[in-house]
Amino acid sequence: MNNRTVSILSGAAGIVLAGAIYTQVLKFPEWASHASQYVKFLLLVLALLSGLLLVVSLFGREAGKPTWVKAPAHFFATAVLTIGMALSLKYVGFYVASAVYMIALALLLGMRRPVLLLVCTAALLAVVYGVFVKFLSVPVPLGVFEDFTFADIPGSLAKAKAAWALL
Amino acid sequence: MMQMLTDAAMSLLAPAPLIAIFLGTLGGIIIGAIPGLTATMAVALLIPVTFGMDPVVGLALMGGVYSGGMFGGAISSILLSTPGTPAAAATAFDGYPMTRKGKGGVAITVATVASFWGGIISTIALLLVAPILAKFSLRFGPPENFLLAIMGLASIVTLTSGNLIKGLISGVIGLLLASVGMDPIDAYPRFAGDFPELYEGIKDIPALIGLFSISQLLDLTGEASIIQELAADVSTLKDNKLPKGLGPTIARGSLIGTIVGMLPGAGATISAFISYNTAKSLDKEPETFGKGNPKGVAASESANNGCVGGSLIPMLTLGIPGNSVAACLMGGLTINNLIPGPELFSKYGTITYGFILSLFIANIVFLFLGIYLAPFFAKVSTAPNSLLIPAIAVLSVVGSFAMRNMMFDVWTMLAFGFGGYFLHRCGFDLGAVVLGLILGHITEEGFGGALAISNGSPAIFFTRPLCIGLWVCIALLLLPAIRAKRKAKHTVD
Repeated sequence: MNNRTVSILSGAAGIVLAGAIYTQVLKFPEWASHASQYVKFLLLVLALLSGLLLVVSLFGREAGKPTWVKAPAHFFATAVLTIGMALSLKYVGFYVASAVYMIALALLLGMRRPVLLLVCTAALLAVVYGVFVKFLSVPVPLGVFEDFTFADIPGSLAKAKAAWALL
Repeated sequence: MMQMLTDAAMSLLAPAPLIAIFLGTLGGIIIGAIPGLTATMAVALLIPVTFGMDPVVGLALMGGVYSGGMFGGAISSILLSTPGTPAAAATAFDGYPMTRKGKGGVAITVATVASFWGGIISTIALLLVAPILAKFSLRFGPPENFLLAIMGLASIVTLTSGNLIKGLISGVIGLLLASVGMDPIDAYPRFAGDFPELYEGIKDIPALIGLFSISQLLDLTGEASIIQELAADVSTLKDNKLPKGLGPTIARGSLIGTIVGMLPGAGATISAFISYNTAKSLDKEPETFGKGNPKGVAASESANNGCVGGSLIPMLTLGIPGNSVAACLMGGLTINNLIPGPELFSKYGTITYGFILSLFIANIVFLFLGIYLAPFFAKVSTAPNSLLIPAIAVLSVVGSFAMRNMMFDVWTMLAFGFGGYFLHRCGFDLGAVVLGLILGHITEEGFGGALAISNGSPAIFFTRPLCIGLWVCIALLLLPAIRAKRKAKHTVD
């Protein structure tokens, strides 16, 4: 697929998108006239610009091909692990998910200095704990480790195990 | 006034206020540099902490956080293309390309010096002409705010380096995304579906982190390190010499920041984009912008730090905060029984002038910290991508979550990241999407509010004197950009 085809498809997609959103706007209640007017105006502009892009691309020249992904293996590893990490936050909490994610992704991307990797992972998590949790009182998801305390590690682990079983 | 100024200066020359300013500024820089943490959040959290303190010390601490936070956003924006704050989004346009060329240290130095002058000039305005400027800011109503947003949106024309139609479509996509959630007049939740989280609209920070940070790190997976064009001598990274010829850009940006900053609702982001747009339009080599021109960094940073003093002008004189941080600072004033108005400059003059003077010191503190630490910060760009990519991703996740403690924002951030990556690959401009997204609310509020005032007549946008002045400014900004694009097209043909 070359750049010209991408532009033609983008123009067509813009028109389809404007039409699809317009059908949703038509479902707005009558009393929300202000809410729909502004969006209708934006959709009109989107449709006109997309039409213009379509026409210009159909009759114009555009050399070259887009590079979708430079290194497919690294790209997909990053994408899958990042989504996996976000999904696991609810279950294993931020610290465990982030530590596993950082180490796994770094190794997959070619990191071969384990000590540096472990130190950086620990330092980053310590910064998040210090700045977010302690200084600014911004909580992070803890998952099954919600009730974890260092004072009672066996008890906390038992609670985590029970929470995991519930999940 | 002189007596109060002298007393205020003397009250600051004690260990406690100086330590408060230093710690506040340092904390502000760190908070500003971390995506997802904002100066608003930090100042709001400090209000109860400063309650028991001497008012000068407490306000100096909060002022330091505000100044440092505004500057700190530039650091991650320049080094990682991850704006720490929305106001630093325009800084990434030239700051990140400079880092890619191995000039991260220079870019941070430029940002530091520009931020310093932006802060100093706006604080001078706050000190000397606050009451006059505050009256001027009151003349800005919904029609003027709408045109100010249009002036910001006009940057799309200058921002777009490739296909102009795609750039404009990107801006419209941003505006459409900003229309998600309750509209400002009817309060009807548009396109929110079954997600109550969307009733307030798409939050800027997760969207910004996704579009700039996640899409950028997906792009970096194909490279070994951020730096692409580092000369053989790695010591060039430590170079932090300020390029020449930045003076007019910084002066102009500082004035834009001060004026736009004092308009309630406008804020640092819009001023940074307007300043960037102006600098590019007036430059002899506009084609170098977006490719690592230090003037781009200077324009954006001087304007967003110019907003610090600007936003405090209507807050201190009229009790109308220019932005959310100024609103939090107003909370800090009122818990000390300091009610905004004329009394602040007479009865409580020593405290008020002490607070204003503390902003000067905060600017000096971050000037030294920024210049001294620039080479060390720049070293981040030499770290291998195999380490940086997971680290940026972790910070992006926690930064998005921190805004409202909601996983929904993490998913929003990831959706914008992946969507933005492919949109960019199709030739669309992510900067224009961000611009539309950020300015969408101001545009719609101004547009709807103006039409409500005029009973639906659009003539209101063309009859008020300030509106005419703003139309002239918009035309002056657009004409050189359009002319340059046509010239470039002819050259290619």
